[in-house]
Amino acid sequence: MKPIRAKTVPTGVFPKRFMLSTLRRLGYEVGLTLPTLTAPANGAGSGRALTLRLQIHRDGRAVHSLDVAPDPGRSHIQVWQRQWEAGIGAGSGEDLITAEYLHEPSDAPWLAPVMAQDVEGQFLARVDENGRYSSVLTSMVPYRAPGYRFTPIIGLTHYYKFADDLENYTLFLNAKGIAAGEEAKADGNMLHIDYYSYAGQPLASTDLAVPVNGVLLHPLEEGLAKLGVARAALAGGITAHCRGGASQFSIFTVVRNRRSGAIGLEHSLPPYYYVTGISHPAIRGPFYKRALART
Amino acid sequence: MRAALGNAWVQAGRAIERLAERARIAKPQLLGPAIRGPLVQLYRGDEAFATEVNFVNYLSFYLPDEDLAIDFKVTAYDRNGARIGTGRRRVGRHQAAQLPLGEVVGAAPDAHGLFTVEADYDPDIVERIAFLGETAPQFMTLFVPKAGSAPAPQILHSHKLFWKSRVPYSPCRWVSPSIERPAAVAQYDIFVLNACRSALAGQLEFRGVERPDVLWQRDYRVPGWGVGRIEVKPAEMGVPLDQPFRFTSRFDRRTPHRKPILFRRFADGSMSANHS
Repeated sequence: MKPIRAKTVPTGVFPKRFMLSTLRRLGYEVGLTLPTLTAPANGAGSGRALTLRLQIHRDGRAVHSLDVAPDPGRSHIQVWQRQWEAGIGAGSGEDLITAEYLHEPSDAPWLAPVMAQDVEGQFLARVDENGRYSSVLTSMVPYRAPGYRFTPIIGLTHYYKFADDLENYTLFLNAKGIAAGEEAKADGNMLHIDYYSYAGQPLASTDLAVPVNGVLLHPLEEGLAKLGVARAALAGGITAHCRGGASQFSIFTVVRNRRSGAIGLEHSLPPYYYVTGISHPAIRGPFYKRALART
Repeated sequence: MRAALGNAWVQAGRAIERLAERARIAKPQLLGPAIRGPLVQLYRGDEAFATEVNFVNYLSFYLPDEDLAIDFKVTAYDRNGARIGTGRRRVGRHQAAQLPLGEVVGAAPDAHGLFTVEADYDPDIVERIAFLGETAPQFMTLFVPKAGSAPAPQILHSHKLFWKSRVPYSPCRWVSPSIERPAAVAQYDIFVLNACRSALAGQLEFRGVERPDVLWQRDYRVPGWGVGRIEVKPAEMGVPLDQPFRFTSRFDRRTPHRKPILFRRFADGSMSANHS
């Protein structure tokens, strides 16, 4: 795997990206794994492995990009935080990292079906090079060009675990195409969150700003305490009902063992997991109209 | 020839299932609501983890103007595929539940096995939610470590189906996108779920990222509706530990869940897990 430092103008960026973030606050170095995609032998550019471009966003700005030219002989590309931070150093907050395959227009006939079949990547977090690691497998998400009109998101996170030696986080990643010359909104994308007890009682509501092209690692216990929810109320379980945002989000739940620092990490389930035909226009419109209505 | 016939049988079965689902979407009052399932997942009740199952009333969050409940039905099987218990839990508007599996099914779980989740809706709401088409009772599984131990709870979801029927010989392979770093791992506990009635056999493999050669392989055999546990210590695999590895699985039939669950044990006592 040979990193290419020189910036090149891509002839095309396939409209799907893999998203992850740093987990500095939790003491982890993150990394990603994606498959090496190689042009078929009988077509244009046969045997050419597609370069992977990583974009690092810090405080909402793209601060660095790293092009990784994979070895066609290796099945996967694995890149770690120390590699992309080599040129920029570590920030104080959490960075958003997006990864996309650069391709030529002539790649579209073979690449489009590959992408349509779902390319999965691995979001890794390790304490050190040979230390414990956690990982979660997730799909690449559609890349939306500047000006794209997003549907507000609906998120349900309800699988936290509360105990004296545990702490819970919700990790919001927000990637949004910004047109040249356009400034990201200073207050980010607003997510309205209603918290319920497992018994169905409303506990609190809040609006969280998730920075555009940024990350919010939201500490649940701390956030609920600020909203006046007593710690004792958490023991019975909490559901967070998130709506709004209107951007490209990826949401994860992180549970951390305070004593050892070990974590559990899982992605959230968007509505299409529960309503399998949601992409059908006859379902999508009525679903979102009712799901986003304020009650 | 035998494999081709098996694959044709599997494909025909899926086509019939899709037709039945479309019929339920079209006539829910007559044929019952189109609800995907039963869905299946691993449980552990062993030296390291207990299992909690978590459901939420997704319908009431997606249709906040409706006052409706979901009845979840959970069934657990032991590692050999014998049913050990079934229980139901009604989850009302805006409610959720996260419960030890044994409490839900009314029986002590085995050391490991699989469990299924199904959902049902009250007849009076079937018509009102018919516009959603097919729905799926997604749930989360929390593998909760023993109190005071080093791991954090590990969370997994599954949208894989459980089949009551047999599956004929129809060999296939799963190449996981999970790239493993065995230098960091003291032991892998790999769980193979067999979510169909036929016995399942195959091989688990570690392959190099650089070369596709099989560097380590272990045969397994799992009874119908059972779960196999394969333990392996990287230090004893005879492979170069400083290299990343691909994890692949071979199956002698197309069971609906073909992503073995990887649990890693680390030297510091912590563990992590994901589906392969």
